[in-house]
Amino acid sequence: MPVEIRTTSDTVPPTTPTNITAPSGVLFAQLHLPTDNNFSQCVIMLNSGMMNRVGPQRLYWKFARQACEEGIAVIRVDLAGVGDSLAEIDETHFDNHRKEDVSAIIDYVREQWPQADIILQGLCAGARVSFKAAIVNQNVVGLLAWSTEIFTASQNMPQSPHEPEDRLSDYEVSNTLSRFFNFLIRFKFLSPKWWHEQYPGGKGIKDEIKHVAHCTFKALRFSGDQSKGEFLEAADEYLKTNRKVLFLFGEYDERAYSEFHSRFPQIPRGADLGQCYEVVDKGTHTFSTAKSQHQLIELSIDWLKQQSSNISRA
Amino acid sequence: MVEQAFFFQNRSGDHLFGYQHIPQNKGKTGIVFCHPFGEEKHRSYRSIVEFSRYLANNNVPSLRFDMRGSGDSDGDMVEATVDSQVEDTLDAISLFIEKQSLDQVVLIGLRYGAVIAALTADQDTRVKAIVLLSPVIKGSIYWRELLRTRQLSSVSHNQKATRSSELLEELETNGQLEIEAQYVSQTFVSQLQKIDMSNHKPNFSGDILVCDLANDVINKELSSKVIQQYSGKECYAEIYSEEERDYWSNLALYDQFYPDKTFEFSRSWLIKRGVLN
Repeated sequence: MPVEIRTTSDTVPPTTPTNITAPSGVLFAQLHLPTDNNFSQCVIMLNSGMMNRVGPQRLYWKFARQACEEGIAVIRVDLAGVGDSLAEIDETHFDNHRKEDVSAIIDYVREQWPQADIILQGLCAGARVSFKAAIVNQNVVGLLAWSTEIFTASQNMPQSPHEPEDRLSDYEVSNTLSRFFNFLIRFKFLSPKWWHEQYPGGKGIKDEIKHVAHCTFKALRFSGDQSKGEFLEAADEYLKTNRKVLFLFGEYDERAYSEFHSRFPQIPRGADLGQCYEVVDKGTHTFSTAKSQHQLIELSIDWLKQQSSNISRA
Repeated sequence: MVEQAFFFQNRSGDHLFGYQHIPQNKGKTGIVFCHPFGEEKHRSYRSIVEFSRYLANNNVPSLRFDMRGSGDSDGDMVEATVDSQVEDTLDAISLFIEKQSLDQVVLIGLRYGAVIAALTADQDTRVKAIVLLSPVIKGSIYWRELLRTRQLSSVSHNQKATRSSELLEELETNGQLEIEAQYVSQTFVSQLQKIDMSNHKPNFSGDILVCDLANDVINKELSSKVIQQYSGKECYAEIYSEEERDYWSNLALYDQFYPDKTFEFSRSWLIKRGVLN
Protein backbone atom coordinates (compact mmCIF):
# COMPACT_ATOMS: atom_id res chain seq x y z
CA MET A 1 0.00 0.00 0.00
CA PRO A 2 1.20 3.56 -0.64
CA VAL A 3 3.03 5.27 2.21
CA GLU A 4 1.48 8.49 3.37
CA ILE A 5 3.68 11.46 4.04
CA ARG A 6 1.79 14.44 5.32
CA THR A 7 2.33 17.30 2.92
CA THR A 8 -1.05 18.92 2.44
CA SER A 9 -1.15 22.68 2.45
CA ASP A 10 -4.07 22.83 4.90
CA THR A 11 -2.04 21.57 7.83
CA VAL A 12 1.51 22.57 6.96
CA PRO A 13 2.71 26.09 7.79
CA PRO A 14 3.84 28.05 4.73
CA THR A 15 7.41 28.07 3.46
CA THR A 16 9.33 31.34 3.30
CA PRO A 17 12.24 31.84 0.90
CA THR A 18 15.20 33.79 2.25
CA ASN A 19 18.80 34.74 1.53
CA ILE A 20 21.70 34.36 3.93
CA THR A 21 25.02 36.10 3.46
CA ALA A 22 27.99 33.77 3.93
CA PRO A 23 31.73 33.97 3.19
CA SER A 24 31.23 32.32 -0.25
CA GLY A 25 28.45 34.76 -1.15
CA VAL A 26 24.67 34.81 -0.89
CA LEU A 27 23.04 31.49 -0.05
CA PHE A 28 19.41 30.69 -0.79
CA ALA A 29 17.24 28.97 1.82
CA GLN A 30 13.66 27.93 2.48
CA LEU A 31 12.34 28.49 6.01
CA HIS A 32 9.69 26.28 7.57
CA LEU A 33 8.58 27.94 10.78
CA PRO A 34 5.99 26.37 13.08
CA THR A 35 2.87 28.42 13.79
CA ASP A 36 4.00 28.75 17.40
CA ASN A 37 6.98 31.06 16.92
CA ASN A 38 8.40 30.00 20.27
CA PHE A 39 9.83 26.74 18.92
CA SER A 40 12.72 25.18 20.79
CA GLN A 41 14.54 23.39 17.96
CA CYS A 42 15.73 24.46 14.55
CA VAL A 43 17.15 21.97 12.06
CA ILE A 44 19.50 23.28 9.36
CA MET A 45 19.44 20.93 6.37
CA LEU A 46 22.67 20.83 4.35
CA ASN A 47 22.80 19.68 0.73
CA SER A 48 23.51 16.15 -0.22
CA GLY A 49 26.41 16.79 -2.60
CA MET A 50 25.21 18.99 -5.47
CA MET A 51 21.55 18.02 -5.03
CA ASN A 52 19.55 21.14 -4.19
CA ARG A 53 17.57 21.93 -1.03
CA VAL A 54 14.60 19.80 -2.11
CA GLY A 55 16.77 16.72 -1.57
CA PRO A 56 16.84 13.43 -3.45
CA GLN A 57 13.29 12.40 -4.34
CA ARG A 58 12.06 15.50 -2.38
CA LEU A 59 13.29 13.93 0.85
CA TYR A 60 14.32 17.23 2.46
CA TRP A 61 11.05 18.89 1.50
CA LYS A 62 9.05 16.03 3.03
CA PHE A 63 11.12 16.02 6.22
CA ALA A 64 10.86 19.79 6.63
CA ARG A 65 7.10 19.88 6.31
CA GLN A 66 6.55 16.99 8.67
CA ALA A 67 9.02 18.30 11.26
CA CYS A 68 7.43 21.74 11.07
CA GLU A 69 4.03 20.24 11.78
CA GLU A 70 5.59 18.72 14.91
CA GLY A 71 6.73 22.15 16.08
CA ILE A 72 10.33 21.94 14.85
CA ALA A 73 11.66 24.80 12.67
CA VAL A 74 13.59 23.74 9.60
CA ILE A 75 15.82 25.63 7.18
CA ARG A 76 16.65 23.96 3.89
CA VAL A 77 19.76 25.62 2.53
CA ASP A 78 21.45 25.69 -0.86
CA LEU A 79 25.17 25.86 -0.14
CA ALA A 80 27.57 27.55 -2.55
CA GLY A 81 27.34 26.31 -6.13
CA VAL A 82 24.06 24.48 -5.47
CA GLY A 83 20.42 25.23 -6.36
CA ASP A 84 19.49 28.92 -6.37
CA SER A 85 22.42 30.25 -4.34
CA LEU A 86 24.32 33.10 -5.92
CA ALA A 87 27.48 31.91 -4.20
CA GLU A 88 29.72 29.78 -6.38
CA ILE A 89 32.14 27.04 -5.44
CA ASP A 90 35.82 27.35 -6.17
CA GLU A 91 36.67 23.69 -5.65
CA THR A 92 35.02 20.74 -7.36
CA HIS A 93 35.37 17.62 -5.26
CA PHE A 94 33.39 15.51 -2.83
CA ASP A 95 34.06 17.70 0.24
CA ASN A 96 33.61 21.08 -1.41
CA HIS A 97 30.97 22.42 0.99
CA ARG A 98 32.60 25.02 3.26
CA LYS A 99 32.16 24.87 7.02
CA GLU A 100 32.50 28.67 7.11
CA ASP A 101 29.28 28.96 5.10
CA VAL A 102 27.52 26.62 7.52
CA SER A 103 28.78 28.81 10.40
CA ALA A 104 27.17 31.83 8.74
CA ILE A 105 23.84 29.99 8.61
CA ILE A 106 24.19 29.04 12.28
CA ASP A 107 24.84 32.71 13.16
CA TYR A 108 21.75 33.69 11.17
CA VAL A 109 19.59 31.25 13.12
CA ARG A 110 21.09 32.33 16.47
CA GLU A 111 20.32 35.93 15.66
CA GLN A 112 16.76 35.32 14.44
CA TRP A 113 15.64 32.71 16.97
CA PRO A 114 17.99 32.79 19.97
CA GLN A 115 15.71 30.46 21.95
CA ALA A 116 16.15 27.57 19.51
CA ASP A 117 18.57 24.70 19.86
CA ILE A 118 20.43 24.22 16.60
CA ILE A 119 20.65 20.81 15.00
CA LEU A 120 22.55 20.28 11.76
CA GLN A 121 21.32 17.68 9.32
CA GLY A 122 23.17 16.41 6.29
CA LEU A 123 23.09 13.49 3.89
CA CYS A 124 26.34 12.01 2.56
CA ALA A 125 28.65 15.01 1.87
CA GLY A 126 26.20 17.17 3.83
CA ALA A 127 26.71 15.02 6.92
CA ARG A 128 30.48 15.37 6.59
CA VAL A 129 30.40 19.17 6.53
CA SER A 130 27.94 19.16 9.45
CA PHE A 131 30.61 17.58 11.70
CA LYS A 132 33.26 20.03 10.55
CA ALA A 133 30.95 22.96 11.26
CA ALA A 134 29.77 21.58 14.60
CA ILE A 135 33.23 21.44 16.13
CA VAL A 136 33.79 25.13 15.52
CA ASN A 137 30.26 26.09 16.63
CA GLN A 138 29.43 25.21 20.20
CA ASN A 139 25.87 26.42 19.51
CA VAL A 140 25.21 23.22 17.62
CA VAL A 141 23.62 20.81 20.08
CA GLY A 142 22.90 17.88 17.81
CA LEU A 143 23.50 16.30 14.42
CA LEU A 144 21.27 14.22 12.21
CA ALA A 145 23.83 12.40 10.09
CA TRP A 146 22.14 10.53 7.24
CA SER A 147 24.20 8.10 5.11
CA THR A 148 27.47 9.55 6.34
CA GLU A 149 30.36 8.51 4.12
CA ILE A 150 33.10 7.75 6.63
CA PHE A 151 35.83 7.57 4.06
CA THR A 152 35.49 9.50 0.83
CA ALA A 153 32.84 8.23 -1.57
CA SER A 154 33.57 6.13 -4.63
CA GLN A 155 36.97 6.10 -6.26
CA ASN A 156 35.49 7.93 -9.25
CA MET A 157 34.70 10.99 -7.18
CA PRO A 158 37.29 13.80 -7.34
CA GLN A 159 39.17 13.65 -4.07
CA SER A 160 39.32 16.50 -1.60
CA PRO A 161 42.80 17.95 -0.97
CA HIS A 162 41.77 18.15 2.71
CA GLU A 163 41.42 14.40 3.02
CA PRO A 164 44.22 11.81 3.08
CA GLU A 165 45.28 10.16 -0.13
CA ASP A 166 44.99 6.75 1.49
CA ARG A 167 41.25 6.47 1.88
CA LEU A 168 40.90 2.73 1.83
CA SER A 169 38.61 1.19 4.39
CA ASP A 170 38.69 -2.46 5.39
CA TYR A 171 35.39 -2.84 3.58
CA GLU A 172 36.79 -1.37 0.36
CA VAL A 173 39.89 -3.57 0.61
CA SER A 174 37.96 -6.80 1.08
CA ASN A 175 35.46 -5.85 -1.61
CA THR A 176 38.19 -5.03 -4.13
CA LEU A 177 40.19 -8.15 -3.38
CA SER A 178 37.16 -10.42 -3.67
CA ARG A 179 36.38 -8.83 -7.02
CA PHE A 180 39.99 -9.42 -8.05
CA PHE A 181 39.94 -13.10 -7.01
CA ASN A 182 36.68 -13.54 -8.84
CA PHE A 183 38.37 -12.06 -11.92
CA LEU A 184 41.25 -14.56 -11.58
CA ILE A 185 39.38 -17.75 -10.82
CA ARG A 186 36.78 -17.23 -13.52
CA PHE A 187 39.54 -16.56 -16.12
CA LYS A 188 37.84 -13.32 -17.08
CA PHE A 189 41.21 -11.90 -18.13
CA LEU A 190 41.15 -14.30 -21.10
CA SER A 191 38.01 -12.71 -22.50
CA PRO A 192 38.64 -9.73 -24.82
CA LYS A 193 34.90 -8.90 -24.51
CA TRP A 194 35.24 -8.51 -20.75
CA TRP A 195 38.20 -6.15 -21.12
CA HIS A 196 36.32 -4.14 -23.73
CA GLU A 197 33.23 -3.83 -21.55
CA GLN A 198 35.09 -2.99 -18.36
CA TYR A 199 37.73 -0.68 -19.79
CA PRO A 200 36.62 0.67 -23.17
CA GLY A 201 39.68 1.94 -25.06
CA GLY A 202 41.91 0.82 -22.20
CA LYS A 203 40.71 3.74 -20.08
CA GLY A 204 41.02 3.23 -16.34
CA ILE A 205 43.13 0.04 -16.38
CA LYS A 206 46.12 1.78 -14.83
CA ASP A 207 44.06 3.23 -11.97
CA GLU A 208 42.41 -0.11 -11.31
CA ILE A 209 45.77 -1.90 -11.12
CA LYS A 210 47.03 0.77 -8.75
CA HIS A 211 43.91 0.40 -6.64
CA VAL A 212 44.21 -3.39 -6.39
CA ALA A 213 47.89 -3.02 -5.47
CA HIS A 214 47.04 -0.52 -2.72
CA CYS A 215 44.34 -2.82 -1.38
CA THR A 216 46.74 -5.77 -1.37
CA PHE A 217 49.40 -3.83 0.54
CA LYS A 218 46.84 -2.60 3.01
CA ALA A 219 45.47 -6.11 3.57
CA LEU A 220 48.99 -7.42 4.18
CA ARG A 221 49.70 -4.68 6.71
CA PHE A 222 46.53 -5.46 8.74
CA SER A 223 46.50 -1.77 9.54
CA GLY A 224 42.74 -1.47 10.01
CA ASP A 225 40.73 1.67 9.37
CA GLN A 226 43.33 4.10 10.68
CA SER A 227 42.89 6.70 7.99
CA LYS A 228 42.61 10.26 9.31
CA GLY A 229 41.59 13.47 7.68
CA GLU A 230 39.64 16.64 8.34
CA PHE A 231 36.29 14.86 8.51
CA LEU A 232 37.37 11.97 10.76
CA GLU A 233 39.22 14.32 13.10
CA ALA A 234 36.08 16.48 13.32
CA ALA A 235 33.87 13.44 13.95
CA ASP A 236 36.19 12.14 16.70
CA GLU A 237 36.33 15.55 18.34
CA TYR A 238 32.57 16.02 18.13
CA LEU A 239 31.84 12.63 19.67
CA LYS A 240 34.24 13.39 22.55
CA THR A 241 32.21 16.47 23.48
CA ASN A 242 29.22 14.23 24.21
CA ARG A 243 26.99 16.33 22.05
CA LYS A 244 24.08 14.51 20.41
CA VAL A 245 24.18 12.67 17.11
CA LEU A 246 21.92 10.20 15.38
CA PHE A 247 23.56 8.35 12.48
CA LEU A 248 21.07 6.82 10.07
CA PHE A 249 22.00 4.40 7.30
CA GLY A 250 20.05 2.55 4.66
CA GLU A 251 20.11 -1.22 4.93
CA TYR A 252 21.34 -1.48 1.33
CA ASP A 253 24.01 1.19 1.76
CA GLU A 254 26.39 -1.52 2.82
CA ARG A 255 29.64 0.29 2.28
CA ALA A 256 28.79 3.43 4.28
CA TYR A 257 27.27 1.37 7.07
CA SER A 258 30.18 -1.11 7.24
CA GLU A 259 32.76 1.65 7.25
CA PHE A 260 30.88 3.45 10.00
CA HIS A 261 30.66 0.27 12.06
CA SER A 262 34.34 -0.49 11.70
CA ARG A 263 35.45 3.09 12.47
CA PHE A 264 32.99 3.86 15.30
CA PRO A 265 32.28 0.53 17.03
CA GLN A 266 31.55 2.34 20.30
CA ILE A 267 28.35 3.95 18.97
CA PRO A 268 25.36 1.81 20.00
CA ARG A 269 22.41 0.93 17.79
CA GLY A 270 18.96 2.25 18.75
CA ALA A 271 17.54 5.67 18.03
CA ASP A 272 16.84 6.52 21.66
CA LEU A 273 20.23 7.64 22.94
CA GLY A 274 22.20 10.84 22.70
CA GLN A 275 24.85 9.28 20.45
CA CYS A 276 23.51 6.34 18.51
CA TYR A 277 22.83 4.88 15.09
CA GLU A 278 19.95 3.14 13.39
CA VAL A 279 19.43 1.33 10.10
CA VAL A 280 16.47 2.05 7.84
CA ASP A 281 14.86 -1.10 6.42
CA LYS A 282 15.56 -1.57 2.71
CA GLY A 283 16.98 1.95 2.54
CA THR A 284 19.51 2.94 -0.10
CA HIS A 285 22.15 5.64 0.18
CA THR A 286 19.61 8.32 -0.72
CA PHE A 287 16.55 6.51 0.69
CA SER A 288 14.99 6.20 -2.72
CA THR A 289 11.68 4.56 -1.80
CA ALA A 290 8.65 6.13 -0.15
CA LYS A 291 8.72 3.53 2.62
CA SER A 292 12.37 4.09 3.53
CA GLN A 293 11.88 7.87 3.38
CA HIS A 294 8.92 7.50 5.71
CA GLN A 295 10.91 5.46 8.24
CA LEU A 296 13.90 7.78 8.05
CA ILE A 297 11.72 10.83 8.70
CA GLU A 298 9.85 9.16 11.57
CA LEU A 299 13.10 8.01 13.24
CA SER A 300 14.65 11.46 12.89
CA ILE A 301 11.65 13.38 14.23
CA ASP A 302 11.12 10.94 17.12
CA TRP A 303 14.78 11.30 18.08
CA LEU A 304 14.60 15.09 17.88
CA LYS A 305 11.52 15.17 20.09
CA GLN A 306 13.08 12.77 22.56
CA GLN A 307 16.29 14.78 22.74
CA SER A 308 14.55 18.15 22.98
CA SER A 309 13.80 17.55 26.64
CA ASN A 310 17.36 16.66 27.59
CA ILE A 311 19.41 18.63 25.07
CA SER A 312 21.37 21.35 26.78
CA ARG A 313 23.51 23.98 25.24
CA ALA A 314 27.22 23.47 25.83
CA MET B 1 19.69 42.25 -12.16
CA VAL B 2 17.22 41.22 -9.45
CA GLU B 3 16.53 37.63 -8.45
CA GLN B 4 13.39 37.03 -6.48
CA ALA B 5 11.89 33.88 -4.98
CA PHE B 6 8.22 33.73 -4.06
CA PHE B 7 5.16 31.53 -3.77
CA PHE B 8 2.00 32.07 -5.78
CA GLN B 9 -1.34 30.31 -5.90
CA ASN B 10 -2.51 28.34 -8.89
CA ARG B 11 -6.18 28.03 -9.83
CA SER B 12 -6.59 25.09 -7.42
CA GLY B 13 -5.25 27.08 -4.47
CA ASP B 14 -1.90 25.23 -4.28
CA HIS B 15 1.13 27.32 -3.42
CA LEU B 16 3.62 27.04 -6.25
CA PHE B 17 7.22 28.12 -5.91
CA GLY B 18 8.53 30.62 -8.42
CA TYR B 19 11.91 32.26 -8.96
CA GLN B 20 12.28 35.19 -11.32
CA HIS B 21 15.37 36.83 -12.78
CA ILE B 22 14.69 40.42 -13.74
CA PRO B 23 17.29 42.51 -15.58
CA GLN B 24 17.28 46.30 -15.28
CA ASN B 25 16.61 46.95 -18.97
CA LYS B 26 14.15 44.26 -19.79
CA GLY B 27 12.05 44.10 -22.94
CA LYS B 28 8.43 43.03 -23.33
CA THR B 29 9.12 39.32 -23.82
CA GLY B 30 9.84 36.98 -20.92
CA ILE B 31 10.92 33.35 -20.72
CA VAL B 32 9.04 30.76 -18.66
CA PHE B 33 10.84 27.49 -18.01
CA CYS B 34 9.03 24.15 -17.82
CA HIS B 35 10.95 21.65 -15.72
CA PRO B 36 11.54 17.93 -16.35
CA PHE B 37 10.00 15.09 -14.35
CA GLY B 38 11.33 13.77 -11.02
CA GLU B 39 15.06 13.36 -10.60
CA GLU B 40 15.85 14.78 -14.03
CA LYS B 41 14.51 18.06 -12.66
CA HIS B 42 16.87 18.00 -9.68
CA ARG B 43 19.90 16.96 -11.68
CA SER B 44 19.45 19.68 -14.27
CA TYR B 45 18.49 22.33 -11.72
CA ARG B 46 21.70 24.32 -11.60
CA SER B 47 22.07 24.26 -15.39
CA ILE B 48 18.64 25.86 -15.75
CA VAL B 49 19.53 28.39 -13.03
CA GLU B 50 22.61 29.23 -15.11
CA PHE B 51 20.42 29.55 -18.22
CA SER B 52 18.18 32.05 -16.38
CA ARG B 53 21.18 34.06 -15.21
CA TYR B 54 22.65 34.04 -18.72
CA LEU B 55 19.36 35.39 -20.10
CA ALA B 56 19.09 38.04 -17.37
CA ASN B 57 22.64 39.19 -18.08
CA ASN B 58 21.45 39.70 -21.66
CA ASN B 59 18.39 41.73 -20.58
CA VAL B 60 15.88 38.89 -20.89
CA PRO B 61 13.62 38.32 -17.85
CA SER B 62 12.73 34.74 -16.93
CA LEU B 63 10.63 32.76 -14.52
CA ARG B 64 11.33 29.27 -13.24
CA PHE B 65 8.60 27.61 -11.24
CA ASP B 66 7.74 24.23 -9.73
CA MET B 67 4.53 22.59 -10.87
CA ARG B 68 2.29 21.10 -8.16
CA GLY B 69 3.80 17.96 -6.68
CA SER B 70 7.34 18.99 -7.65
CA GLY B 71 10.25 20.81 -6.04
CA ASP B 72 9.26 23.35 -3.40
CA SER B 73 5.62 23.57 -4.48
CA ASP B 74 2.67 22.17 -2.60
CA GLY B 75 1.26 18.75 -3.07
CA ASP B 76 2.42 15.30 -3.99
CA MET B 77 3.05 14.04 -7.47
CA VAL B 78 0.05 11.72 -7.14
CA GLU B 79 -2.22 14.77 -7.31
CA ALA B 80 -0.64 15.96 -10.56
CA THR B 81 -1.71 15.09 -14.09
CA VAL B 82 -0.43 16.26 -17.45
CA ASP B 83 -3.50 18.53 -17.65
CA SER B 84 -2.88 20.01 -14.18
CA GLN B 85 0.73 20.74 -15.10
CA VAL B 86 -0.40 22.58 -18.23
CA GLU B 87 -2.82 24.55 -16.02
CA ASP B 88 0.01 25.40 -13.63
CA THR B 89 2.08 26.64 -16.57
CA LEU B 90 -0.80 28.78 -17.84
CA ASP B 91 -1.14 30.26 -14.32
CA ALA B 92 2.59 30.92 -14.15
CA ILE B 93 2.49 32.71 -17.53
CA SER B 94 -0.40 34.92 -16.36
CA LEU B 95 1.41 35.78 -13.16
CA PHE B 96 4.69 36.57 -14.89
CA ILE B 97 3.07 38.73 -17.59
CA GLU B 98 1.14 40.64 -14.96
CA LYS B 99 4.03 41.03 -12.51
CA GLN B 100 6.52 42.16 -15.14
CA SER B 101 4.14 43.98 -17.52
CA LEU B 102 5.13 41.75 -20.43
CA ASP B 103 3.37 41.37 -23.79
CA GLN B 104 4.36 37.80 -24.58
CA VAL B 105 6.39 34.83 -23.43
CA VAL B 106 8.65 32.09 -24.75
CA LEU B 107 8.37 28.67 -23.13
CA ILE B 108 11.57 26.68 -22.70
CA GLY B 109 11.03 23.09 -21.64
CA LEU B 110 13.57 20.42 -20.88
CA ARG B 111 12.77 16.69 -21.41
CA TYR B 112 9.25 16.08 -20.03
CA GLY B 113 8.96 19.84 -19.48
CA ALA B 114 9.18 20.23 -23.26
CA VAL B 115 5.92 18.30 -23.61
CA ILE B 116 4.26 20.62 -21.09
CA ALA B 117 5.64 23.64 -22.96
CA ALA B 118 4.25 22.40 -26.29
CA LEU B 119 0.83 21.52 -24.86
CA THR B 120 0.61 24.87 -23.06
CA ALA B 121 1.53 26.75 -26.24
CA ASP B 122 -1.47 25.10 -27.94
CA GLN B 123 -3.76 26.81 -25.44
CA ASP B 124 -2.25 30.26 -24.99
CA THR B 125 -1.77 32.86 -27.71
CA ARG B 126 0.55 34.82 -25.44
CA VAL B 127 3.20 32.17 -26.16
CA LYS B 128 5.17 33.38 -29.17
CA ALA B 129 7.83 30.70 -29.34
CA ILE B 130 8.77 27.41 -27.73
CA VAL B 131 12.22 25.96 -27.26
CA LEU B 132 12.19 22.20 -26.61
CA LEU B 133 15.40 20.90 -25.06
CA SER B 134 15.96 17.17 -25.67
CA PRO B 135 12.20 16.69 -25.57
CA VAL B 136 10.40 13.56 -24.51
CA ILE B 137 8.61 12.80 -27.77
CA LYS B 138 6.67 9.63 -27.14
CA GLY B 139 5.02 9.49 -23.73
CA SER B 140 4.65 5.72 -23.95
CA ILE B 141 8.42 5.27 -24.37
CA TYR B 142 9.11 7.68 -21.52
CA TRP B 143 6.65 5.82 -19.29
CA ARG B 144 8.48 2.57 -20.09
CA GLU B 145 11.75 4.27 -19.07
CA LEU B 146 10.18 5.33 -15.76
CA LEU B 147 8.89 1.82 -15.18
CA ARG B 148 12.36 0.48 -15.94
CA THR B 149 13.93 2.73 -13.28
CA ARG B 150 11.50 1.21 -10.80
CA GLN B 151 12.36 -2.32 -11.97
CA LEU B 152 16.09 -1.65 -11.88
CA SER B 153 15.89 -0.20 -8.40
CA SER B 154 14.20 -3.41 -7.20
CA VAL B 155 16.93 -5.55 -8.75
CA SER B 156 19.76 -3.42 -7.38
CA HIS B 157 18.22 -3.72 -3.90
CA ASN B 158 18.58 -7.50 -4.00
CA GLN B 159 14.83 -7.83 -4.27
CA LYS B 160 13.02 -10.12 -6.63
CA ALA B 161 12.86 -8.76 -10.18
CA THR B 162 9.46 -7.25 -10.89
CA ARG B 163 7.76 -7.67 -14.25
CA SER B 164 6.30 -4.56 -15.81
CA SER B 165 2.95 -6.37 -16.02
CA GLU B 166 3.01 -6.74 -12.21
CA LEU B 167 3.69 -3.04 -11.81
CA LEU B 168 0.90 -2.14 -14.20
CA GLU B 169 -1.44 -4.40 -12.26
CA GLU B 170 -0.40 -2.62 -9.07
CA LEU B 171 -1.14 0.70 -10.77
CA GLU B 172 -4.58 -0.49 -11.77
CA THR B 173 -5.41 -1.96 -8.37
CA ASN B 174 -4.19 0.96 -6.25
CA GLY B 175 -4.82 3.72 -8.79
CA GLN B 176 -1.21 4.82 -8.23
CA LEU B 177 2.34 3.52 -8.51
CA GLU B 178 5.57 4.46 -6.81
CA ILE B 179 8.23 5.87 -9.14
CA GLU B 180 11.33 7.46 -7.59
CA ALA B 181 9.80 7.61 -4.07
CA GLN B 182 6.72 9.44 -5.26
CA TYR B 183 3.40 8.12 -6.46
CA VAL B 184 2.02 8.80 -9.90
CA SER B 185 -1.69 8.38 -10.55
CA GLN B 186 -3.33 6.26 -13.19
CA THR B 187 -4.75 9.42 -14.76
CA PHE B 188 -1.25 10.86 -15.09
CA VAL B 189 0.03 7.65 -16.67
CA SER B 190 -2.88 7.44 -19.14
CA GLN B 191 -2.38 11.05 -20.18
CA LEU B 192 1.37 10.57 -20.48
CA GLN B 193 1.03 7.45 -22.61
CA LYS B 194 -1.22 9.26 -25.08
CA ILE B 195 1.44 11.89 -25.81
CA ASP B 196 3.15 11.53 -29.15
CA MET B 197 4.80 14.74 -30.24
CA SER B 198 5.85 13.20 -33.54
CA ASN B 199 2.18 12.80 -34.37
CA HIS B 200 0.86 15.84 -32.54
CA LYS B 201 -1.51 18.20 -34.35
CA PRO B 202 -0.45 21.53 -32.90
CA ASN B 203 -2.76 24.44 -32.34
CA PHE B 204 0.15 26.84 -32.18
CA SER B 205 1.36 29.26 -34.78
CA GLY B 206 4.56 30.65 -33.31
CA ASP B 207 8.20 29.63 -33.71
CA ILE B 208 9.60 26.35 -32.47
CA LEU B 209 13.19 25.33 -31.87
CA VAL B 210 14.09 21.75 -30.93
CA CYS B 211 17.54 21.26 -29.39
CA ASP B 212 18.85 17.71 -29.29
CA LEU B 213 22.15 16.24 -28.23
CA ALA B 214 24.40 15.81 -31.26
CA ASN B 215 24.95 12.14 -30.45
CA ASP B 216 21.32 11.25 -29.67
CA VAL B 217 20.46 9.72 -33.04
CA ILE B 218 17.09 8.31 -32.00
CA ASN B 219 15.70 11.53 -30.54
CA LYS B 220 17.05 13.53 -33.48
CA GLU B 221 15.11 11.34 -35.89
CA LEU B 222 11.92 11.72 -33.85
CA SER B 223 12.52 15.47 -33.51
CA SER B 224 12.54 15.84 -37.29
CA LYS B 225 9.03 14.33 -37.27
CA VAL B 226 7.98 16.86 -34.63
CA ILE B 227 9.32 19.64 -36.82
CA GLN B 228 7.30 18.31 -39.75
CA GLN B 229 4.12 18.43 -37.66
CA TYR B 230 4.74 22.07 -36.82
CA SER B 231 5.98 23.09 -40.26
CA GLY B 232 2.60 22.13 -41.72
CA LYS B 233 1.04 24.88 -39.60
CA GLU B 234 1.91 28.54 -39.66
CA CYS B 235 5.05 27.85 -37.66
CA TYR B 236 8.70 28.38 -38.28
CA ALA B 237 10.41 25.22 -36.99
CA GLU B 238 14.10 24.41 -36.68
CA ILE B 239 16.34 21.76 -35.11
CA TYR B 240 19.63 22.48 -33.41
CA SER B 241 22.06 19.85 -32.19
CA GLU B 242 25.57 20.61 -31.10
CA GLU B 243 25.92 19.75 -27.41
CA GLU B 244 27.23 16.27 -26.75
CA ARG B 245 26.73 15.98 -23.00
CA ASP B 246 23.47 15.80 -21.17
CA TYR B 247 22.84 17.74 -17.98
CA TRP B 248 19.99 15.74 -16.46
CA SER B 249 21.54 12.32 -15.83
CA ASN B 250 23.10 11.17 -12.59
CA LEU B 251 26.55 12.23 -13.77
CA ALA B 252 25.41 15.85 -13.92
CA LEU B 253 25.37 15.92 -10.11
CA TYR B 254 29.05 15.07 -9.79
CA ASP B 255 30.42 16.69 -12.87
CA GLN B 256 28.28 19.72 -13.50
CA PHE B 257 27.95 20.89 -17.04
CA TYR B 258 26.28 24.00 -18.38
CA PRO B 259 25.17 23.76 -22.02
CA ASP B 260 26.54 27.18 -22.98
CA LYS B 261 26.22 26.52 -26.71
CA THR B 262 22.50 25.80 -26.31
CA PHE B 263 22.06 28.93 -24.16
CA GLU B 264 23.71 31.09 -26.81
CA PHE B 265 22.06 29.48 -29.81
CA SER B 266 18.56 29.65 -28.29
CA ARG B 267 18.92 33.33 -27.48
CA SER B 268 20.38 34.29 -30.85
CA TRP B 269 17.69 32.20 -32.62
CA LEU B 270 14.95 34.02 -30.70
CA ILE B 271 16.53 37.35 -31.65
CA LYS B 272 16.78 36.25 -35.29
CA ARG B 273 13.10 35.28 -35.23
CA GLY B 274 12.23 38.72 -33.85
CA VAL B 275 10.82 37.31 -30.58
CA LEU B 276 13.54 38.87 -28.45
CA ASN B 277 15.15 42.26 -28.97
